[in-house]
Amino acid sequence: MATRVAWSSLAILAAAAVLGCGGSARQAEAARTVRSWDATVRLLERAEGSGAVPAGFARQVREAASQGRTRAQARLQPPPPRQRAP
Amino acid sequence: MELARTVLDQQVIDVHDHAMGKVDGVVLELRPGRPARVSAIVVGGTTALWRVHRGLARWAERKLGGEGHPARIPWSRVLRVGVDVKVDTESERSPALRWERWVRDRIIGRIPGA
Amino acid sequence: MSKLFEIALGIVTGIGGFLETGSLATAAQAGAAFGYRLAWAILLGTVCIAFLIEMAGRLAAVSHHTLPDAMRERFGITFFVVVFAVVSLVSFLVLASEIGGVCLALQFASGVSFRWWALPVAGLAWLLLWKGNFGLIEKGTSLLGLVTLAFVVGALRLHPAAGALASSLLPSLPTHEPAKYWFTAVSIIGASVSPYLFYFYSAGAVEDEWDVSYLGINRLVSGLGMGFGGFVAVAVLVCAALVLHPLGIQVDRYEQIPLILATPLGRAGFVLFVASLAIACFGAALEIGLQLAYLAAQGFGWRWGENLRPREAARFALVYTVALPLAALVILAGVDPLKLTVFSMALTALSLPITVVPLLVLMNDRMYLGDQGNGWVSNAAVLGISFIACVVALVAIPLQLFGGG
Repeated sequence: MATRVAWSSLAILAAAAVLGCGGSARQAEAARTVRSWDATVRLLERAEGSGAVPAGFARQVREAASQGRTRAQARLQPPPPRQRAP
Repeated sequence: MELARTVLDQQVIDVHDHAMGKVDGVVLELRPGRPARVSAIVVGGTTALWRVHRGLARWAERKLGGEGHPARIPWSRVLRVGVDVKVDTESERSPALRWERWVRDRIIGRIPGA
Repeated sequence: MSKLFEIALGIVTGIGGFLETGSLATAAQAGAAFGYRLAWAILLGTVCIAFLIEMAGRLAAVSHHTLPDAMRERFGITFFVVVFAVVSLVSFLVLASEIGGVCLALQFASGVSFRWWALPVAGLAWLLLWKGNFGLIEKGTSLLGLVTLAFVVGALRLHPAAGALASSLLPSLPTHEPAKYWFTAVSIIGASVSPYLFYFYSAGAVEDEWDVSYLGINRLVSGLGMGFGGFVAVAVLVCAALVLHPLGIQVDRYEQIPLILATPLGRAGFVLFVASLAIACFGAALEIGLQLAYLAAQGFGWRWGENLRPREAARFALVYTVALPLAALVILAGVDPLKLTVFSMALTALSLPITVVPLLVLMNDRMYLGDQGNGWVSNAAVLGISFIACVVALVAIPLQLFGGG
């Protein structure tokens, strides 16, 4: 009984989360992620310039940054309007 | 009866103080007109499984045959009951360590350095 | 003299063993996203684990029972099987995370993707457990683990504002991104209160044949060791708060975290970060591999002991021989180590009542502890922290998984 209550409250919460966090929150989050990755690359360049990180590692961070940025960018752009068949 | 509840699920060690399992079950002797008495402890096999899930235990017994070969140790061979239950048995030959021996001979013993 | 040595060793173990991929990743995420604000979660988790470690040691010293042994005896097989399943699952996920941590350190150093390191790392860990002599390994990794003190040096170099840091040791409500705030808070608590820590400690205390004369040492070691360990985790949070937070960098990938030490300490910082990550996670992986074996062996009555040869404790050896490669497969499959880590830590927090309450019941049972039972402070602290963490996790995990906001 107790577990059933726990599960159903969990399900309600999950549903609320999916419905509640609408497009705008998602967009804001994606924008934040893009800015975060841009800042990461700037910080990395500074570290690389002063010799704090080896070139091999810098390459890994850049790759992670470009992947993360691309993924966030895709979420940022609104999906193209659906074409209605004539 | 009180004794049965005390020893159930206690650690069993053999004459050499080697671990040989838990008290998975207790055999009670019913005596007319007098309180029941612990006549043996049961170690290993499917005994403990019966207390967890009957269906699973029945399935295991069909697979393994019998009761999965537990060791029944008569109460007269129990030397003392303290932190562990010490029994007057050689665990090396006891059916209680059947799986231990199987794992040792078939798997672990075959890896170099065991 | 020898007692003094044991205290020192215990504290070193606490410092060297506290930081692992979970506390490192969660503290770095917290510092990056919220500055100092989540320092209270580290404090809460550290208090909770210090109490739990002390209890596990006291149980072993007074009753000569390990935790799984006492649980099986006190609650019976059915209940034990439930706890066994939950603790094993959580520990397995944490084991995979730790292997992932070692692999990432090797990737940062070599450029070869972390996935390809998973099997060699698990193989090396297995070999060390197989060859035994765990005392040496444990003390070795703890001593080497002192390299994590680099985070304290890094944090001091960044000149943290003591007042602001101190005030953030009191819990506060989030100013933005509440779902992420609470999720990060519970994963920090989960990272500190990993059940493998106190199960492992209880097995060690029984194996070293502790008696009541160890109670004083036990209290000092658990309090100071975990306290200093938590201090290192706070240092990680401070580094992230001062390097990443002002630039608006959030930690989405592990690759970002070395920058928190490379920025204040230069190339030495980068090297120290990689060494810390590799050593701390490898030490934790060894401990968790063993703890899984201890848990099964002590609960089901098998022969156990790391000082026995594998063939003398075959089923015990079988557990880590299966668990290590299996956990490596999770990493080899390409699961994101950071996501796996953070998720495992949150799951740990969610399962706290199941892992912690049986210990509390035992600690209040005169059959086991005599007049050395728990006082109300430790009962209330552990019960309170674990239930709050569980409830918050119950709300925060689905929000984090499905909400994205």
